[in-house]
Amino acid sequence: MWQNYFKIIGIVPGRVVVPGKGTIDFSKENVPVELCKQLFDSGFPYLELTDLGKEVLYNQPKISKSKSDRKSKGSAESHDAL
Amino acid sequence: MDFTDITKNLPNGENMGGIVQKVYFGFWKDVDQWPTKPDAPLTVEENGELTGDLVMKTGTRMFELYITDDTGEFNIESVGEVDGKSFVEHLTFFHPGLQKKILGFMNAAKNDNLFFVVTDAEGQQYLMGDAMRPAVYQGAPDGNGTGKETAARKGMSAEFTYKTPNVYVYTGTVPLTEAI
Repeated sequence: MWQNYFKIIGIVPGRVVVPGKGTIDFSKENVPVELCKQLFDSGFPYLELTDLGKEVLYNQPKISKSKSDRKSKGSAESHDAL
Repeated sequence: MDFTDITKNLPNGENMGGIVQKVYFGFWKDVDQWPTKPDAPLTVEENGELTGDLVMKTGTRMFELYITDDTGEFNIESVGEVDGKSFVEHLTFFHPGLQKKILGFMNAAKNDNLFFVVTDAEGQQYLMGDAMRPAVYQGAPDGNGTGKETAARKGMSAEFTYKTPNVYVYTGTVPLTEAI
């Protein structure tokens, strides 16, 4: 589901007309992730990456929130697992 | 900017006329950010394209309007005297029926400032409106009403114009939900 990797910003999730792509309804769950990635890469103004999207789609390692957070988990998370 | 050779360029042999069966519009006062015009473009192509997206103010949105096929036209008229040339863009269309929605639209649009996004048969978009000037209602080129014979077509026609020093393609998006 695309919402795992991207979130809509600036507008209420819904229909957006995109030149060359037609009308995409971001209130639906069935928007292809690859399409979202194409749009994001081309500067689409209404999509933002989630932390999971940064990690999975762009290989950006997750940043721990704080030292205490890291201690509570016992060890660093494995990025390879995702 | 340098000129370049301009050859026949019809990708996939496409050059169909007319516009698609939807136009997009909104109130000019509701636009928060306009796409930018070319500033010191390096090529003639850059000199014919707007950059960025039209962004609406919070709580406002763009809308779509259905038009009957083969009734919509986007026309670019050259106007002015020598050394004072500019353009007037014309959008004409016919909407079938006399339902309350289209009557209410015309009531609101006839004396207000709007903008339109028009899409041609190849998907190329044109924005009628900028930070300086809106698109405005001019009249009903094919009339409004029921028609005379039963075989006539009932509905509303409309023409909107937008005066602009240059003409550009709009490559941005058209969100049809409220800005937040």
